[in-house]
Amino acid sequence: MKIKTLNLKAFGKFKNKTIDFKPGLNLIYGNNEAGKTTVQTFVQGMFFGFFKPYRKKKTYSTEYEKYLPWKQFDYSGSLIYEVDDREIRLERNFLRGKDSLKIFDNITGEDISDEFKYDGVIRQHLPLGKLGMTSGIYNNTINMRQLSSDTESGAQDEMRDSYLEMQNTSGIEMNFKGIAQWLEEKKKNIGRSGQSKSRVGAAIRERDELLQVLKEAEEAYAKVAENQEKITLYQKQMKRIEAENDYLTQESVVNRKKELLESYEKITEIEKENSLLAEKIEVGEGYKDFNYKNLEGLKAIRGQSERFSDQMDYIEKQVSDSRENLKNIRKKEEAKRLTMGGHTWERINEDYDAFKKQKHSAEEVKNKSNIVISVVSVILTLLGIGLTEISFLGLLPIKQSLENSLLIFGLLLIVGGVIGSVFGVAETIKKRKIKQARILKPGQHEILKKYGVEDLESFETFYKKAARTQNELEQMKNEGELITVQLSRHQAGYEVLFEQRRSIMKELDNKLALYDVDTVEDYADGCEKAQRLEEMKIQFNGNLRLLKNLLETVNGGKTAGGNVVWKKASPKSDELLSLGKEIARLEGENSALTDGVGLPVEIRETIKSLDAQIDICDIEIKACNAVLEILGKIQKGCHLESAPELNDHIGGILEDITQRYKGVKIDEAMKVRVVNPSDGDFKNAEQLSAGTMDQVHFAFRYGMGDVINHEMPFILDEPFVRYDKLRKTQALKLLAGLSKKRQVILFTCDDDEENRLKALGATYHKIRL
Amino acid sequence: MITRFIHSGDFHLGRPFTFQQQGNYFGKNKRKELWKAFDDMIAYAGKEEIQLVLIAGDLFDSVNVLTMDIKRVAEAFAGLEKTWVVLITGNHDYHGDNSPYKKVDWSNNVYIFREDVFRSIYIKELNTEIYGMSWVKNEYRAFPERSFNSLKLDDARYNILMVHGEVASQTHYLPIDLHYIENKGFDYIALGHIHKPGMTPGGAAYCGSPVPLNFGETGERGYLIAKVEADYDNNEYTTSSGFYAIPSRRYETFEIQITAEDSYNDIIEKATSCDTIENRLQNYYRLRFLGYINPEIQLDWINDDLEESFYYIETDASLLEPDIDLEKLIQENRDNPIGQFLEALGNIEDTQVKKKAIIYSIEAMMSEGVLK
Repeated sequence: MKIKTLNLKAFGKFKNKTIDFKPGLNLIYGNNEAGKTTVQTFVQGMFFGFFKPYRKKKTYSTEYEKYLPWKQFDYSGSLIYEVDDREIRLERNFLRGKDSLKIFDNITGEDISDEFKYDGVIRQHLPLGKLGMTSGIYNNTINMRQLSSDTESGAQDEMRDSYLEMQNTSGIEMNFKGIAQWLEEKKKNIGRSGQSKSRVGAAIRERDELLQVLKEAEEAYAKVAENQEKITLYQKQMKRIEAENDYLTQESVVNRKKELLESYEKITEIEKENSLLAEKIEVGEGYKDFNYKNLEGLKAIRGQSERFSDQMDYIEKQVSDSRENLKNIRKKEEAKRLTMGGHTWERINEDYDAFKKQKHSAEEVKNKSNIVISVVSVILTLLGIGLTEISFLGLLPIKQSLENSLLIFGLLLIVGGVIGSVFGVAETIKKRKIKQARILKPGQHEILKKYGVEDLESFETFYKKAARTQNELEQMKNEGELITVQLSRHQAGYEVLFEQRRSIMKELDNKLALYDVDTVEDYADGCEKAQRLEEMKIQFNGNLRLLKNLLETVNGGKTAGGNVVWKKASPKSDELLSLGKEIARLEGENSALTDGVGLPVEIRETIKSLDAQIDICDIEIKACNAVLEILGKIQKGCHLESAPELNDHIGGILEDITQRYKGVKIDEAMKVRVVNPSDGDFKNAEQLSAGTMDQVHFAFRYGMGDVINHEMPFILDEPFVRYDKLRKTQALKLLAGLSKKRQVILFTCDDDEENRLKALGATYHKIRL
Repeated sequence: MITRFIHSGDFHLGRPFTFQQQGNYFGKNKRKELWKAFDDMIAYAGKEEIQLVLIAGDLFDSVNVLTMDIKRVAEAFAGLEKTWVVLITGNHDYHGDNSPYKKVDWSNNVYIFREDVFRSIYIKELNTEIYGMSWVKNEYRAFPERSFNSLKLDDARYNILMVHGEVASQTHYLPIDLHYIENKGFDYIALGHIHKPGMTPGGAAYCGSPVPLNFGETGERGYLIAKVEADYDNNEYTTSSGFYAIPSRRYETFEIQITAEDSYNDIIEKATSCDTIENRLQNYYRLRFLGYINPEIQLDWINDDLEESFYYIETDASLLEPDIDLEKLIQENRDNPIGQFLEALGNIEDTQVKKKAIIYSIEAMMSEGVLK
């Protein structure tokens, strides 16, 4: 391919500037600021425009602004080149918004744009698309610009880029290590803001610490909440108690309370009583079947038996009495018989009858009472006389009427006395006349003698006495017989009674045994106890009813002691105090719990914020790692070795120019190394002089041009500034040789190049800007 | 008789907030803002002697809210001497073992519904009966119809219904059929749960959250003030509701279109011109970058560079594409390690990681001269 004509219609400082090139070596000469670089950039711009590569949106590269003509609304040009025996004209408008490229067949004038590859992003056809030439390749290989930097590393970079481009284009190698280093560096800087010192590691540490802090804070605040719930509860209790206390200290309530307490005292009393009663009732429960009816029965039985006993006693007494009587009677009989002087009554009676035939026995007269009557009559008479006299004389200081009465009484006494005396005297005279009439006969004396008596009277007396005695004896005999009969009857009765009593006693014993008592008295005692039990039960139940009523009144039927009521009804200052203390304690605890403890909500926010940072960093780190991993894998699949042929080729060029260095190698870090001719070791390019570096660079470019593309022109801008004369000549010699195969465009400000070319006898086309 | 009442709720006091920067600094400020809104409402109710304040659930953000926060609320309510406060719980502060409402003693002017069936409280002096149900667990898939159906309203009274739920048929957050509850004849239906305020013609209203709680919550926020006019002859009440806006920091989301030609400074410039400086230093901003970015530009530290221009800034570059035609790159390097390398990058599973990996690789290749 040969560039024929440039027309800088409006580009940089140029306006309607036309430059014609020839095949072979073109030497473009211009002083500083003549526009050499502008022309070089124009060529690049005509082929590629000024766009950043691989963009999805059309993006202008920095050159666009740089060569935009001042105060002009035009930014365009055209370029004619020859390729494959065809002359092609490119007409380009660079101006933003109007940018376009038209491709014409310069001979026919036909627009042949459609024959070329089209780029959808920049919306233009690509004139060099078929050659696979991109702006990157172009700039890194055939278009050798003036070195942007004077430094050695700048040259190094340029070289490396070129080398990489060459390798990439040839599909050999890419700079794994450089990319990997870049990513490692990136990774190091992740989470590290410009000024801020925070890094992702620090953020993670902080976050993890905060998680612990949060846990503690949450626990503390949970405890605080728990305490607070208690505090609220206690406060409510206190309020209630205070209200209760207020209520309880009201007079009516106090009085009511007193009543209640009294009621409760009563209740306590009754309860105590009932408890005692209950004990007693339990003890007395054994007597519950004892009753007075049974007792009456038992008593009746016992009475019966006693009656039997009494009767038996009586009978025994009777028997004993009877025996005594009988004994006495026998004794008396004996005595009486003795009084009859050994004579039987029959004898005496015969004798008496015999005596009697002779003389009737005189009547016995009594005289004793006549004398008594006489004496009493005399006394009465004397007393009557006395009374009469006293009354009559009025000796007594008494009333007249009473005196009269006494007088009458005295007179009556006198009369009575006189009558009595007279009756007594008459009786005595009569008795003496009877005694005078008695007389004894002879037979009678015998009889008298027999019986030891002297007179009839005595005999009479004896007889009477004997008769009486006989009578008495007979009576006694009858009596004795009667007693004997009675005695036998008693004995029979006694036996009957004994039997009856025995059976009754047995019955009684049986019945008592039934109640487990020995005696009726015991049973009676039990009955009393049973009665008391009954009474106690009644009292107990009565108490219960009373209690129930009392409790109903004081406590709504709930059983609770007076103490409870007292406690409930007493103002509770102790409780208030303890609640107050507890609240104070809990509040103290709460304040201690939260002292210096961050709020969980704030800690959480900080954590979230850190998490957000960490997440972002995490993604960034993951991205770096992912790229590094991929790089590693691909790197393993590739052979990181420089193409030895290329190295040899470049080495040859370098030797031609320098006459000294010939071995070149690109190391793993994409650094160019040159074999030191003195010791054969590889020497780092950076250790070379700037000029030598430039020469290495030139060798690279030169060599690569051969490898990459034989057709494209080789464009160089001031490549020999730092060359010495000898090496410059050697380089120009190479270029002159190359220009026989390819078009070479060499920009320079020095006529030294031209002189040397002349000296070398090379053909060239000189253009002066 | 009732003349005016406040309908509020969804304060979410004690809520933790998710901000991507500076630890809990913004969260703290945000919570202060919640408290300020609450205090403002209390102050307003006090000053205006509002008769009734309805809190339609989620007063607290969580059952684990700090005790001191609960105390603070209880004290604020207790200070409202002329105001009744009637409260239901929501899905955030439901009555459970840990219920925040158990932790403090509430003053006598505060009535808290405790059950998840409808009950009512009649406030005689206001001739107002308030029906409500509280949450006692964190999920309700059905509306408590049975207890609702058994309600019998006294037409002579002003009847209010309070429910915390979602007007939807399929939801875990207590589905509400608006027509169904509106037909019951309530004079006012105070709803909670949805943070966007809104009213229906049928007398139901969501008070909304008094301050926006995240980037999804835009528009004005505050609480509702209802005025009641009564026609006692006919037992008819007319309620008109007004919205009382509470000023607070807004959440703003902007989309920033980036082009491949934008330099880093251009991007900063575009970001900072999204709003005025006053607004930027007041509100929360989320900037979503769209379009294509020059792959040589990294936005890793853009938040740091924007920080000073905003009160709060977070950026989202996930939709931003690096201006690299990867397919073309792969295509053109099909037979060499670059092609293999780029293809392998395309196989990374995690899309976020993949995206970053590709961006880094391009950046690395560029700086290493592979792409120029």
